[in-house]
Amino acid sequence: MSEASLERIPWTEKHRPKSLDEIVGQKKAVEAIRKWIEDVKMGKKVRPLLLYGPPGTGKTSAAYAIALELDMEIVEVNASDVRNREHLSKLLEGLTARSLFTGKRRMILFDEIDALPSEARTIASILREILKRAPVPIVLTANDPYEQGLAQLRGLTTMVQFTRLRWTTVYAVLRRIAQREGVRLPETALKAIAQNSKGDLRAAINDLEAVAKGSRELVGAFGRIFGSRDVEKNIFELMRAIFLGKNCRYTAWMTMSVDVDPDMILRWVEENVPLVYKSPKTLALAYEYLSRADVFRGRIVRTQSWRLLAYANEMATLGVCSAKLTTGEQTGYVRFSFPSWVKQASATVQSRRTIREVSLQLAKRYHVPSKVVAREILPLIKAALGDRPAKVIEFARRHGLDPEALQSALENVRGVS
Amino acid sequence: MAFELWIEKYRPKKLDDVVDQQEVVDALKGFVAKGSIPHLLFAGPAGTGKTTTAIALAHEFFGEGEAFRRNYMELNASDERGIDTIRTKVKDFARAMPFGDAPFKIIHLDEADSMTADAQHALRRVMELYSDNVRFILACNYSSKIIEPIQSRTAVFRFNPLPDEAIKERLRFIAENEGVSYEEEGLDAIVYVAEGDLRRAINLLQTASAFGKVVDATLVYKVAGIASPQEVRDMIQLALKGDFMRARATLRDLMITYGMSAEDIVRQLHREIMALPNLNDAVKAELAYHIGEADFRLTEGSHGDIQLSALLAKLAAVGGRT
Repeated sequence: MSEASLERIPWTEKHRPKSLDEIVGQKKAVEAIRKWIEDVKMGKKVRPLLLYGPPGTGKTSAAYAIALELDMEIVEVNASDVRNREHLSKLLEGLTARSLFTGKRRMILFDEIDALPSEARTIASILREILKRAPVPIVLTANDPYEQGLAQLRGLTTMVQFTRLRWTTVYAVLRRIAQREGVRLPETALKAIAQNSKGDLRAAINDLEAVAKGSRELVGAFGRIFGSRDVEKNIFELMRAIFLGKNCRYTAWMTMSVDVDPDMILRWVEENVPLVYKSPKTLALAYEYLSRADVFRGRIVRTQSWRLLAYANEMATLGVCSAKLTTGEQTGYVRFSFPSWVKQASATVQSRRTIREVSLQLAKRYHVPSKVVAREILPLIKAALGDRPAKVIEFARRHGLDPEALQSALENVRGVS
Repeated sequence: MAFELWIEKYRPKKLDDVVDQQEVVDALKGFVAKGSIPHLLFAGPAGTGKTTTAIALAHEFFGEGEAFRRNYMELNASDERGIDTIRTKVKDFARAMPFGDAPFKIIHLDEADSMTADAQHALRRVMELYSDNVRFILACNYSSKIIEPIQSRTAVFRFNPLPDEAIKERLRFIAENEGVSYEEEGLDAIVYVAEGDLRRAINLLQTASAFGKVVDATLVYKVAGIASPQEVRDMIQLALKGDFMRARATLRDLMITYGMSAEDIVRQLHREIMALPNLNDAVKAELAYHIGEADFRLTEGSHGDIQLSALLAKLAAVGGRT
C-alpha cells in the first residue's frame, strides 16, 4: 500500500491488531479463543463464539485475528442483511463454497448483534439453520449480551468476555502509535487521553488522531485525507455516529470528511431524527438543534458569513447526537433513509422556475410582489381561464408573456382540487 | 370583454378612496397641499394599502397621464437582483429631469426590509445622492428591519391590518358591481383567510366567483390555496398525540403539493392552537411562546419546513406531558 493511501486510513484501522498476540489486556479472553481455534482446526463441532464486552476492547479485532489464524475469509453479516431475507439466503447458500477470489474457506461474523435486539430471534434461527446445514465457524460480537431478547442466543454460543482496559494499557498503546506516526505529544496529553477513554481503546486512538491532526491545524486537509472515500458509505457512517454513537465529539469533524454539502447533511439528519428518536423529549430537543442550525444557515446565506458554518454544523451533528445523551434515550439501529424533502422538492424544480419567471413579469404589471402573483394571481387566472386555451393565449399576448410559459405555469400552480 | 383583475380594476385612484387608513391619508394630504413630500417609509402587513397609497399619492402630483408614467417608478427589492441593479435603475431613472412641471420624481421601493443591512446602507447613499429631484417611498412589513439611518431620514407611516368589517364592506361593493352571488358565510370565510389583507380578499373573491355560481364558505376554502382550518387542526392533533411522522408528512404535503408558505402555515397554526378548547391556558401560553419563536426564526432561517417541523416536535413534547 502506498504512503498516500495509508494516510487515508483512520488510525483505528491502520493500527488494528493483526494477530491474537497483539490484542492487549485480554489475556483470559485470548486463551479461550485459542482453545476454540484449536477445536476448529481439529475438525470438532464447535458452538458459535460470542465475544462480548464494552466498546473498544478488541472484539472485532479478535474476530479478524481468528480469521487470519484459521486462514479463512470473513463474511460479515450486518443488521440490514438480517432484515433482507432474500439477500440473506443467497449469502448463506454461498457459504460452504470457497471464495471465488481467494479460494479460501469462509467464516461468518455477526458484528454488534445487540444493536438490533428486535432481530435477536431471527439471528438465533439463522444460527440454528447454519449449524444444521454447514459447520462454518461463526463469531458474534455484542456489547451487552445480557440484554433482554438475547437469551436464546446466549444458549447457543460459547461466551467469551472482554473487559474494560486499564488506562495504563491504553497509554502504552497510544505511545507506540504516536511513535510510529512520528507525532510528538507531551506525556501529559497522552495520559489525559488514556484516562479520559474509560477503557475504550478505539475512542482513545480516535482522540489521539484528532489531537495530532488538529494541532497541525489541518482542518482543510482533513477533508482531503478522507475526501476520496465512498460518499454514500460516509453519509451512512455519519448517520450512525450521530444517532447510535455515544461519542458525539467527532460528529462535527466527520462532516468535513463527508463529501456531501452541509445543507444536504442538515437534510439527512432532519429526515432521520424521527426514525431514530422515539421519545418526544429527545425528538423536540434534536429538532431544537436543527432549528438553530437552520437559523445559522439563514444568517450565512444572507450575510455571506461562511465562518458561521462551523456553528451550523455543530448544531446539526453534535447537537442532535447529544440530544439522546441528555434525555437518556437508548437508540437502536434503523435503516437510514434518504431525505425525502429533497426528493419531493426536486421533482418540482422546473415547474417552480417557470412559475417564478411568469410571476416576475406579471408582478410589475399589477404592482404586487412576485410571490403574491404565484400565490394568488396565477391560481385566479387558472380558475378564470384555465380550460380555455384561446383566452390564455390572448391574456399572454396582452401582458407580453410567452403563451407556452404561461400555460405551463398555470398547469403547475396549485389549483383547486 | 377581456379578463381583468379586480385588484387592479378596483384599486383606489385617489388618496380619499384608500380604505380605512384615514390618519395616513390625512397626513399625506397635508404634504400634497404644500406641494412637497419628504422621503416616506410605509410600514405594515401585506394588502393594507401601501402600494395603492403610493400610487394615489403619485397621481396627486403627476395626474394620470404621461407625467405619471414618466415620473413614477416602482421597484421590488426582493424581485430585483441585488442592490447593484437597484442602484443602476435608480440612477438611470433619476438622471433625466422630472417630466413636465413636476417638482420631483417618485421611486417606490417595495419590500425594502428584504434587503440586507449592507444593501440598505448602500441604498441610503443612493437616496442622498438623488434627493434633489427624487423622492423615495420605501415600503416594508416591519420597520424594525429598516436600518436606523434610513428610518431617521424618512417620515414613517404605519398601515394597520384592515378590520374585518372594512374588508367585508369592500367585498360586498365589488360583488354587487360584478353581479356575483354570495352567501354571508362565504364572505366570512374570505375574511377569515385574508386576515386583514384586502388584496388577498379581493383575489379570493374573484377566484371563487370564477369557479362556482355562488361564493360560499366551502368554495372559499377550496380555492384559498391554503389548507382548510380542518387540515391544520388535524396536523396539530397528530403532533399533540405524538404521531410526529404523520404530522410532518402533512406539513410537507401542505408546503410542496399545496405550495403554502411557511409564514401562512405558522399563522394558521397559531390561530388554531389558541382556539383549541381542550388545552389549558398555561399550556397555551407556553405554546404561544414556541410558535412565536418559530415565526421569528422563519424570518432568520433558510428552510421554513425545518422550523415548522421543529415546532411540531415541540407540540409533540408538550402533548406528551399533558
